Amino acid sequence: MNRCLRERERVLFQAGDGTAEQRRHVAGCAVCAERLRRLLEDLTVIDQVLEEEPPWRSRVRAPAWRRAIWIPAAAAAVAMLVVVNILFAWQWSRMQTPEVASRVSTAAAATLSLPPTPLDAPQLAESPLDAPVDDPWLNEALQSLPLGDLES
Amino acid sequence: MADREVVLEDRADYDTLYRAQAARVLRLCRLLLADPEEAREVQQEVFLKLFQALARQPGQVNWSAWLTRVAVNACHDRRRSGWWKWWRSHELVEDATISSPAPSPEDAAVGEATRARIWQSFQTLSERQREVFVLRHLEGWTTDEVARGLGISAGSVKRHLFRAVRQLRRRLEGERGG
Repeated sequence: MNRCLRERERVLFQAGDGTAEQRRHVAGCAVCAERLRRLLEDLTVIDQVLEEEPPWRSRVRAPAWRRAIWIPAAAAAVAMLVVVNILFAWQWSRMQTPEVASRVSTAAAATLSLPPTPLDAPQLAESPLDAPVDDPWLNEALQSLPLGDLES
Repeated sequence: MADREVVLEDRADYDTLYRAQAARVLRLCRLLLADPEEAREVQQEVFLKLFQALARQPGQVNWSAWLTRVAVNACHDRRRSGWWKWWRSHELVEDATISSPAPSPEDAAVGEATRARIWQSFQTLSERQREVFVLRHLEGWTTDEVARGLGISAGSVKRHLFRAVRQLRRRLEGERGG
């Protein structure tokens, strides 16, 4: 193997996945040896950093009101319920109003064009005033009244 | 009485294992989750499983490897859970420049900015790249072991390892360059 190791090959070589041919090449190649030395140096720094705690003290969690997922969820549910309710009521009123109006107008038209509905009250043969009164005193008193003035 | 002895013996094994492995498992979880608090929770979960497993099969098991596998799977599950994703998307992270008040000698040697950049770069690795890098490079598993453990091919392990190392090194080189 005459050519130098590529970056990918160097990473795998350093991790222990190199072939015998690559090992022979590295043993005799100062360039590859230097590149591998730098790779090892970088990995040592990375290992050292990752072995420790992260540089920030701790993750700052969202405030309690943001963590409580049920609050926005409940608010959204209530808002949706209100909107649905309003929409339903509006739609219902739209459906009901023309129907009622048409019913009223039909009834009014029918009332104007048709003769008045006869009452179920019994039709009297004569006026109640003309009916005989059993009480003779009252009868005499009625006879003495000036009925002409009353009728006018 | 015999049962009681077995339980006590298992507990002794558990204690020994806990003392020997707790720090390593915590570090592993912290690296895979990039969140110290989550890592502690998963660590407890893992050791609870160990306790249960010891009661079921107290025989000869490579508990170190077992713990690593369980920890990797637990972290994997945690990262995949919808709740965790929601949580992560809503949490705020302190500025990386805010660091511990008393820097260790290592801090002084590496430098605050470098540490912050390496951690930031590590956090931007994909989940798979991070798993492969941690197991292959930090835990010292072989390529075949990582492939078996994660259920992927050896070629995929090599590809993920290379990409992870390249990204981390670029960040480091960028630090040196600028």
